[in-house]
Amino acid sequence: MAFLSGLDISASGLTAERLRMDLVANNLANAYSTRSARGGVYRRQVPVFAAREGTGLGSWKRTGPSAFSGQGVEVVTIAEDPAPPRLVYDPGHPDARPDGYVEYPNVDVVTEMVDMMAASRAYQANLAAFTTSRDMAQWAVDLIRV
Amino acid sequence: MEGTGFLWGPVERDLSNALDAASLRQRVIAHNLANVETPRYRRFDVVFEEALAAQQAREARIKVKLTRTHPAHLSGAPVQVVTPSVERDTTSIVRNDRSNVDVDREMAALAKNSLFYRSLTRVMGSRLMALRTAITEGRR
Repeated sequence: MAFLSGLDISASGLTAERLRMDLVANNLANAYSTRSARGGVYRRQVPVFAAREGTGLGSWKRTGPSAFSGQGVEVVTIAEDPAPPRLVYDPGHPDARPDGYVEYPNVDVVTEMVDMMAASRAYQANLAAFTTSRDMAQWAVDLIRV
Repeated sequence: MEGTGFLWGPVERDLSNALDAASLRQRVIAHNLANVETPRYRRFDVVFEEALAAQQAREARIKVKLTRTHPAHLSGAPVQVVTPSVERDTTSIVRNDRSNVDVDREMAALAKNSLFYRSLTRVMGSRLMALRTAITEGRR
């Protein structure tokens, strides 16, 4: 089904952007989580994207319609933002350190909102490409009904 | 597609060639858009129209043309199908994240390419329709 591979490529972009949106939602929801399953304060999670392409010498340099090996995007891993936690002085907090400071997650709400908008726009662009691929496949199929 | 039978002539050959190029370009644009947020990604480009124009210019330069009374006769110029090629675009301006995907540009290319594909399928459809008209002797 080579003529439908454009749909798979766009679908990988849709999946990646939706995962990013999920992570933004998770980061915002945990903006004040001082505890996590791994112990310690929650840390902001970011997806790591990589282009899914055939590797090897000249794999994209060969000519011809079948030479292009691009398969969209993949999420390599979900990484933690290494930025230090936000410190708030609140000695009455149960998770306060001996010096009275509480470590809050390194989640910046403004950054998350910007990420959310970028993910939403990228999702729209991939959806447009998906719809176009589907239309083109439909037009090709319509040829046999002439 | 090879040959110049009564069903599949040079026009159909060029049409299917251009359809292949357009569907390849669709995949390339989709790939670029899927990687719009991938750092250090460099966009791909399909080279087809330029190669086609160069091929036509080469054929136009051939001064001595042989008279052909049959499609199987040699034309003097070898019939060459221009195949589209995919190239990495390293010339355009790079964004902060070292990627050079411009969403506006890709969306414009997407719209252009789908109109191109639509017109190609329309022309192909009308040629097939003409064939059907001939087969059914003008009746529908």
